[in-house]
Amino acid sequence: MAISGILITLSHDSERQRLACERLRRDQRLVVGELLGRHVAASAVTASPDDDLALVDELRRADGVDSVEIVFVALDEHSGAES
Amino acid sequence: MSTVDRREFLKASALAAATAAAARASGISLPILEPQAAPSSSAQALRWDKAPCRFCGTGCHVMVGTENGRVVAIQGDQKAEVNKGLLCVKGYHVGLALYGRDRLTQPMLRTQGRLVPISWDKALDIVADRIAADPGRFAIYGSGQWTIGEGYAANKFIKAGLGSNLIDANPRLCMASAVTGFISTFGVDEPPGVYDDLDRCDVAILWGNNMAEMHPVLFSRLVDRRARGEKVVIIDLTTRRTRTSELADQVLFFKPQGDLAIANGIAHQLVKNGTCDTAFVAAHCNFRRLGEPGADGAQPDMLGVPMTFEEYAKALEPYTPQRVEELSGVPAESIVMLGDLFGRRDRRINSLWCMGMNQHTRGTAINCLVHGIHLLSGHFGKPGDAATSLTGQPSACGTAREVGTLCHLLPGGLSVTNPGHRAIAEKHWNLEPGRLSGRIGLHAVELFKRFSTPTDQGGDITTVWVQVTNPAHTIPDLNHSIRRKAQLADKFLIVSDVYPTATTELADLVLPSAMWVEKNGMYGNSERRTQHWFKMVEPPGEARDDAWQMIAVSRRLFDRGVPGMRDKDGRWLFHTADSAGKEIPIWEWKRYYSDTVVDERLFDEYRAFSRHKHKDLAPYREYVKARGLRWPVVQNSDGEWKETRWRFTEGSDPYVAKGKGFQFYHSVTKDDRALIWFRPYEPPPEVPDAEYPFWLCTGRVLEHWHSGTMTRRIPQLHRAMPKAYVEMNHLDARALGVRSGEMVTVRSRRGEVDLPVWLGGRGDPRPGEVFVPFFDENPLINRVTLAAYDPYSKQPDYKKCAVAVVPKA
Ligand code: SF4
Repeated sequence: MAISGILITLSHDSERQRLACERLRRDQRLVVGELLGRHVAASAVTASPDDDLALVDELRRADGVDSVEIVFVALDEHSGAES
Repeated sequence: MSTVDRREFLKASALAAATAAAARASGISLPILEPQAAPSSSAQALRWDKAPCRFCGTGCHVMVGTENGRVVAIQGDQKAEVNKGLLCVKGYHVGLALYGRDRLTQPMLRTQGRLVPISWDKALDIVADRIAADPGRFAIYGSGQWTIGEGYAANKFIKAGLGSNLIDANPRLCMASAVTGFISTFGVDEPPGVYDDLDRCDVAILWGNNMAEMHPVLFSRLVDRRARGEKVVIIDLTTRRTRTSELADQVLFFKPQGDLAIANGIAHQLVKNGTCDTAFVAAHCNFRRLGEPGADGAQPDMLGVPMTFEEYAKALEPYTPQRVEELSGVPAESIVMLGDLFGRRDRRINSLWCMGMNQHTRGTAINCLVHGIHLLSGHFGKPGDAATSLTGQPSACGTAREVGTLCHLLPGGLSVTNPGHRAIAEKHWNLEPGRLSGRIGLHAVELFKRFSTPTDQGGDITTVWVQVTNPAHTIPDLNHSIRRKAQLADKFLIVSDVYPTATTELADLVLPSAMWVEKNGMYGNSERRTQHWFKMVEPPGEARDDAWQMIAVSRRLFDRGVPGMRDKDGRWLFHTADSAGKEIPIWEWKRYYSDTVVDERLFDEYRAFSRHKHKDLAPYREYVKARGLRWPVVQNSDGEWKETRWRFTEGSDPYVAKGKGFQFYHSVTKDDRALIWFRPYEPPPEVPDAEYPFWLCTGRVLEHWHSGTMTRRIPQLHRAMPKAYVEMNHLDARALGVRSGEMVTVRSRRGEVDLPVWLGGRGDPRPGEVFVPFFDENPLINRVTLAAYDPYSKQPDYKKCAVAVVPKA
């Protein structure tokens, strides 16, 4: 299980912004906060760190999303590797 | 707390952190709340503490969540001015750097070819034996990732304890030309400007600087201004298209080494158009050029000789836009545009650079030239008007440059060759006058050359102790340097590190180190900001602090009667006493953290040095409270410690006299003036030819920190960028008949490596150029690079050498 906090910046276009926001709120993996300006905060819960990164990539490509930044990562269920 | 409660708590913390970031991004001010501790029994409570990030020189602050002795969560520190709650992908995963499965946890001695565990007692005895046997052939090689305390302990150990200057550190490979540029121009090291300039400039000019990947949080700070409706123009002067280019307003490609011509072209335009800031120049600047070479061809000294403005203008005459276009490849009209831009007083211009200008055989020259065009045009010392060198490592400034862990420096910017400076250091260290050596030690490339040469052939360095760095991966032209050590049985390599590396592979003795929040520490970032953190978790196994290792060896030498390890009153150099005056045995590991804060004792001793060059530091306890303070930090009449933003500028810098406006109080010419240098374009030492037709440039990538020993053990970063590659232009690939993913050999006169080709990937070189990131230990691209270096800074050029690219059959 991976938990992260994500800052999502939405499009300037109000209609695309509204649609993107609705889509985010329907996504079971996310708990989405208030829309602040064109920024919205979310926490994400996914099965693994890889799924977490895949989710961020997916959000980056989504219509109405200008940028996605990770701002919090819970590390305890990740394990290190050998180089 | 149950697992479910814990998850809910972490989810709530994640959302709170993201909400704070969203509020900040949208300009809404929410109260900054401390991250909450988990509502649970005290044994399991999640605790949050501040620390600077372990990786780059930006110096972002993170909040580190620990639970049951383990780092379990990371978030950007909302209270930190540097990053305002943001981190890059490396920063968010920094906690995992502690938990690679192959952490070094025991001292190990090479015995019959294998590293075999031994006790700390035995390991320290071996180190002490090697040093005592021949102190004049022993050297320390350290790091810009040493904490300030660690660097200070190593510096005092060798300079005061052994009376030698045989210490250098890896900032020689990344920052040395910035240092010589600052000293040549201002008479003293480190930038006048601060990161606030990123928030205030109208134009940012990136000189060979892929800021989007190398200093991503600072780049966001710049680019985010556009999202707030502010206009900031980014001009990317570069040799290849990068992620930075994607967000730049203008991308100007230049030929390797062409930056020297561009800077001279801008200066020429300012002079020709009469758009220099003549009042500023007349009041605050002198002109300088290099003297003539010595009869034996020796380099002229770095202080140069005076020249008049007219002579300066004459020297610039050849740098017409057309000539600069020939030398640099940048169109003449773009040179005119840059000249016009610098000529405008209604624009604030921030030049930014990192390795592109520093890893350069004329690194000192290009640093001086960029400072020069800022001074000549008066784009200096006002918010947004600055020439800013960004550091690669978290404490290249704080430790190597300020503590002086280089072969020519003493702490606080003092010089080993200056008898007055040595006398100051002898006083602070309570040594007999004349104890310190005035002979400059060996810079990194030379140090490893001597270490890798048989003793009977002039290889007079026989033992090297490496801490917190990986020279067998990062020194240029490895095949003819440290990697030859494997064939030299009488040379002895001691390595203190946290993971197996290319250097531990060659080591005779490996000492396991504590890292980052497993110890107390302080770093100093690129904007003169000194930052502090406390130990949060225990290191694994028998891993111990690097400073303790140095102190414990020093004590052994003291006990054996090595005279340098005592001061003139007979006390041990690292003598530490409790409030009743009773000695605390800090050389015993079990007492190192229990009875005192050794870092505080080292820092407060070091702090005494900081006043001599106006680099004043506050007492240790002030840094415990702050998210870093930018020096000079001076105490106000009300007792408050106040940091400095713009150095040499009246109203900001406490050392500038009232009414002066600007005052370069360490001026080389002793008249409070900065120097504007003329330095000509000079060709690189090696250029492509028929046999080696490509330019090779090496560098970093977003996901990996330097030689990758930490970031490659973070699964998320490793998977995102698992191995090195060679980027090339699609036209060259077509001509060679290779496609993305196919293997090629990259070969120079010095060595070769095999790599997969990556076309149209992260970056896109110009035809005739290739790029290889250096994080991967397999293959080692530094087997191919050139060991040529700047004559003043001794910093090698990793950005340009000639190679052939040959498809694998
Ligand atoms: S790696 Fe550099 S930019 Fe990234 S979080 Fe750490 S200090 Fe900041």
